Amino acid sequence: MARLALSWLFRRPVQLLAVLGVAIGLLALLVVLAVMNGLIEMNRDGVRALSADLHLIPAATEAPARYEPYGAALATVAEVAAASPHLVAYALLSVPGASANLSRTQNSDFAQLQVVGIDPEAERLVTGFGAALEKAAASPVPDPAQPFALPEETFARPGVLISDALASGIPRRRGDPLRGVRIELGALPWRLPPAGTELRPVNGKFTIAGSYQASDYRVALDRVYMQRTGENGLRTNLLGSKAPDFTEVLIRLQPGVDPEAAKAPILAALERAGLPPPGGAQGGELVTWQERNLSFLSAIENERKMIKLVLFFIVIVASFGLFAVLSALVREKVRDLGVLAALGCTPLQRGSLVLGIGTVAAATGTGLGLGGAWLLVRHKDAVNDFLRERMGIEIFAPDLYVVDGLPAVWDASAAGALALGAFAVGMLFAAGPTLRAALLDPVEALRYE
Amino acid sequence: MSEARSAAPVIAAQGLDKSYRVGASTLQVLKGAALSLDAGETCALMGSSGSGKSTLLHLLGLMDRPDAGEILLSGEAVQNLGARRAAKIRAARLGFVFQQFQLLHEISAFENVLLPRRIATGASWWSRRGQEREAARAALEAVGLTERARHRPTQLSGGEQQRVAIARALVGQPQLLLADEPTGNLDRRTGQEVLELLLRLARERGAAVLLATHDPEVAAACQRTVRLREGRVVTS
Amino acid sequence: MSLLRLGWEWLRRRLILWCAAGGIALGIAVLFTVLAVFQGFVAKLESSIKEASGDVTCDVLRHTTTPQEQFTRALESVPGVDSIAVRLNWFGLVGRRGSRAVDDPRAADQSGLLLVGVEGEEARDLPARDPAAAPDSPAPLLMSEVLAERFGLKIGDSLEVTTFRFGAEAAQLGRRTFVLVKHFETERFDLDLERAVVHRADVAALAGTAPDFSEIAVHARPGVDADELAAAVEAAFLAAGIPEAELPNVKTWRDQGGQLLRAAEDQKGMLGTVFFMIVLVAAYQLVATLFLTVAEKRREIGILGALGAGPGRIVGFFTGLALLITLCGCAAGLALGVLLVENLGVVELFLGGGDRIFLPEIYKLKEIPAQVQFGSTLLLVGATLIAALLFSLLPAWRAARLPILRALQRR
Repeated sequence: MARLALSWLFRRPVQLLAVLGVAIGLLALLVVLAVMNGLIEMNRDGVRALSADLHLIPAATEAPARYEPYGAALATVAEVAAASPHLVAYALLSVPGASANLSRTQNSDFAQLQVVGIDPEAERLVTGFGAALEKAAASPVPDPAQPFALPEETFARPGVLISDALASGIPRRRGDPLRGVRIELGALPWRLPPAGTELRPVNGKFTIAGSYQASDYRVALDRVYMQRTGENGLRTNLLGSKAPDFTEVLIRLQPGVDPEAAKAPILAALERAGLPPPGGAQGGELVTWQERNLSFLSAIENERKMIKLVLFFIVIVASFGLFAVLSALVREKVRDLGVLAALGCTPLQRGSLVLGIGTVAAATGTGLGLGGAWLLVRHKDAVNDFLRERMGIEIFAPDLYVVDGLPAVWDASAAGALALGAFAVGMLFAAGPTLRAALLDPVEALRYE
Repeated sequence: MSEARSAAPVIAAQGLDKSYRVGASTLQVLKGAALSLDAGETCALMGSSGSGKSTLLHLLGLMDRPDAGEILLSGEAVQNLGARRAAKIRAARLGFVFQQFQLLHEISAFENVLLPRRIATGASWWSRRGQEREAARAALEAVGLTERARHRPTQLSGGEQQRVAIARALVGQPQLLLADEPTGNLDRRTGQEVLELLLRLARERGAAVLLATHDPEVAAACQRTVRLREGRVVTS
Repeated sequence: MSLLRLGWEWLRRRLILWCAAGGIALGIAVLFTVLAVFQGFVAKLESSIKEASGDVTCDVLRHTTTPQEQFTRALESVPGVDSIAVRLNWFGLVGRRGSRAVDDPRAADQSGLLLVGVEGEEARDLPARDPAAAPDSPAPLLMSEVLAERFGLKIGDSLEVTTFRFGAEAAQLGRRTFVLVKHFETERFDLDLERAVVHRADVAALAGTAPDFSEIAVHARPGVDADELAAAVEAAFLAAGIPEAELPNVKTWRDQGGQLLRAAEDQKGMLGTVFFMIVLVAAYQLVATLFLTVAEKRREIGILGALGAGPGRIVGFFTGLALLITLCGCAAGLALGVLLVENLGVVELFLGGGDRIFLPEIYKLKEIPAQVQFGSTLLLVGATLIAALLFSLLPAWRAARLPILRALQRR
């Protein structure tokens, strides 16, 4: 019967078209998803590059927060590999001589800066800061080990790092002046003064020490790095003595440590050190970088879900062809099925014959589609080069997307699941013709013309 | 038709050869077959099974090409026409009746009869639409199936289906009607009725009839009989 | 009865041909919906940018000494200009937590707010300014409901805005109290969160700027192209004798839209291409189905040939059948697409597994936009029909090439 089934399937080349249709449908779905995966990975990596495994925001205290006891407490936690304190504040950007200034209507966030004070060495150990400096394009620093060092002729101004996007947008380069103005609250952090409180301006003057590549597009236009403490530090130059010397700690964990599992020992260490635990009535939090960026990551994950579901329609449409082939086959072979019935073939056997054909067709199509997609993704660069150089097609416009080649990531388990789904859909479409073959009336079938 | 044309036979075939490849060998079906028919003449083509009756019919019906020989249709050489030209001539001047009826099951009897007119007229059928529908109605009436016009072939008996096929073959007023065992799938009585109808209607329309059969009683109803033996027409 | 009628009867009776139509319908429905959403997105972006900044925006330079009247006279001389709005935009800080940019648990902070200073028709929702009122008396302010909620403000509450004054080398502060008098709403979530509308004179008094205007929004007459208008505006400024060093930065709404607009248009192209693959696969399935039909209907093809249908008629019949199937599929697909577009909220929740996909914080619009354009729809249907026609030529040619006899004998 297996031989009979295969001879029926391969009897006419046209029937192989349906097999090919399933293969093409699945291939299209998997390749597009792989590219989508690549883009999402790129976005996630971009966010991750300037983040850490865990982010600790300390609970509020009467006195301004000091990093030293926190650093000491974290050093006692075996799961923690390194920690980098951040001091985050906001200022208004003022660029002497630039036309882009506070009058810009659409890009008001252009006028507002997020100033992040860091310890460069600690930052390099915890985040992708080092790589961001090395990949800088607009105005790279001469020595990434000393990112805030300024040209010798510059004096009395702290160095700051701006993003490539900001450097191109203003435009400004290493050695140019920058003014960031902040209004001193005269109050402790996290408690804003009531309206009417006297506010004093703090006029910070800086010099651009260079640029960095901002992998996360959300911070590209407004994050500026500078030294956290010291003579050229953020606290000294912009915040004043009443400000804390850190507002957040980025924590890198030892390889293989689960961030969720690391929270408990960190909290315990803080408690042992007599430091208030974050997350209580006094605020603060200890979160993973995914929790920190939940809204953004959920959005791109939802996009992937949506595209996956919609593209699966391709597979369904392709399976229509399989249904067509099997239906036509049953119709054409009605008399033969009648003969088999007359010879004693049971309905189950007749149905199995057609189902077997459907199984071979669906499996072949799925296998071809899966294999073809894997090959295309494996040789994505060659495909991208071919499209760009031979056909003039640029899939991702270089001025819109900061991509290196064609981003595509092969997720074997997802591909396998989708292939299995495609096979299942094919089998579902084979059910109709199978039942028809099983349930036909032998007498009518033999009379069929 | 011109006088010269009306004097010439409707169909005249000379020296027809036709062979087919069967596996590795070649089977010569016709060897120098010759035949001619005048307008209004009815002729039976007899021969044993496999003698080449259907082959000769297909060649004269321009559905196949001879390996050698000549076919003149009202004086025009038609043996080597291209597919398009052959189709036009089939639509305009020939009619076919098959043993298996060969009706289209998805459309009604009326629409089956109308089909050749639609194919033949091609563009600007709209202006002739009324005339063609009238011709189809008349053809169905001639075969006595007016009340069955809306029925599909699967709803008709064998005899009724063959009558529809006859109406379809004659609706275009063909010069030549070719019938391949038209009663082969019918019982004796029905076959007789169908045969009489076919011959009468063809005579009324002045069409020549070439009828392939192995049944002597069917042959006897025609004006003349020719036989095919070893690829040749032996009685003329 | 034409051969088309025969084709219709074949279509009516054969499920596999309806499956082919169904595949096309599915592809058309998806593509129609995706195109409508992106067209809506681009259209909404366009209208929101034009509403906020006009078809053409003139960014006035900080150091300009040319009086406002000279600019406005020059603009009034341009035929394509419908109306102009002179504004003074200034960035201030509000001593309250809230706003998209700086609601940051790491920093006690002032929230940034863009004050858009307007006058004339644009200030119609603001209570008239009392010129005799004291300079530090509370001034009226319009704010979106969502921003007011973040600031914890109700209508009638006051808000203190602090900013540094223009021009000082050492920053000097200006401070003013504003009173929320009414809510406004734009089409854009991000714009609603970042700005408030006040009288231009009040911003000028707060910021101490001179000139007391920073941009001129130019609205075009219907049918006037923005690029042409921008060129005409630049020419008008030059003709009005405004020094070159003081010429404003003239931008069209497209320039204002910048990367966001380009990204949306780019995404529309990409997703359109991706989802057109569904239509292509459906057309491919149509080919497979037609080949099967040719194989199954050999006898009928033979009959048509015997009756005098030449190769051209047979090809025409099968391509006509393909077009008929495709038209049915397109019609069903468009109907389904319209249904989807009318119920995008439900579709969004279904696709997101109960979660919203289209977050205003990310996509900057409050609801999923949708705009059906007749031209795009026609193009979509046309492209599908052409694809079906081209794809169907091969099976049609195969049918035309069938030897009549073999077809009749079903060999």
